Amino acid sequence: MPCELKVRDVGELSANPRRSLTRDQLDHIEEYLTLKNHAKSAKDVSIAGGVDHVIDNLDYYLGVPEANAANVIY
Amino acid sequence: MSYTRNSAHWMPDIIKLCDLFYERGLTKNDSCLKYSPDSFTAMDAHCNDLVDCIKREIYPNHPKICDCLLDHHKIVAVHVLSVLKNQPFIKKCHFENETYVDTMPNEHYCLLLLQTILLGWHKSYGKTVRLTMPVKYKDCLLLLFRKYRMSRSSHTDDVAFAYALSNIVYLIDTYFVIYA
Repeated sequence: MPCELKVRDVGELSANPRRSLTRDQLDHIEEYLTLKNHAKSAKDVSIAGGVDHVIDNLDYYLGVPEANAANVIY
Repeated sequence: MSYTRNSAHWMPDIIKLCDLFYERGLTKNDSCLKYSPDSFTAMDAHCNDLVDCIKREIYPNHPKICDCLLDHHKIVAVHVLSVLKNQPFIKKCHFENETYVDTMPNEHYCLLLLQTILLGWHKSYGKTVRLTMPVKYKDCLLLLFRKYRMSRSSHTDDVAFAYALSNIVYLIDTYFVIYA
């Protein structure tokens, strides 16, 4: 999907929200506001590893107090 | 909905998580606690409907809605809500040796699912992470899930709770996921 704002612009907008926008930024602001957090599609994400990890550490992920958090790294 | 949502390919893993949670996390008592794998068909369809509804709200004028993306916090919220609405576990009565997990099996499964998707998402980005949600916060989430499951909102098409939950997932992702 087309979005002409560069990553640098996005950072600048958040860092200085009261700064006047350029004409170029204004032209694309609607797309920026809509798309800024949508970098990855779920199509490219697998949760299979997450399933195995959570099941292998079931007590920890259920919140059982005795479970050792220090060892649970994914 | 005339397209397949991007997370539809997760369903076999979501079912596997539920199967293993039933095997290893719950006390077996067929007369009081029933596992219904058939509910995943309705759950899958409900996920599609929620995703479509939210996309149409966020991208009202987009000509090709199937190309629009939702952030992963909303995707997590959608899957949790679908579980709470379609309930793979039916609890009929209390029983001897019942655990806290047994008392709210659907809610505990949602807790696992939420964490599984977040972990899987970060793993797909190549990140090694720890999820360090405090036990008290997990308890609060379980109660919130239960409140929603028992409420009238879970039987309507209203997506307000999906937005609220996605905001909570964002906070969990921000404050309780630690990069190793």
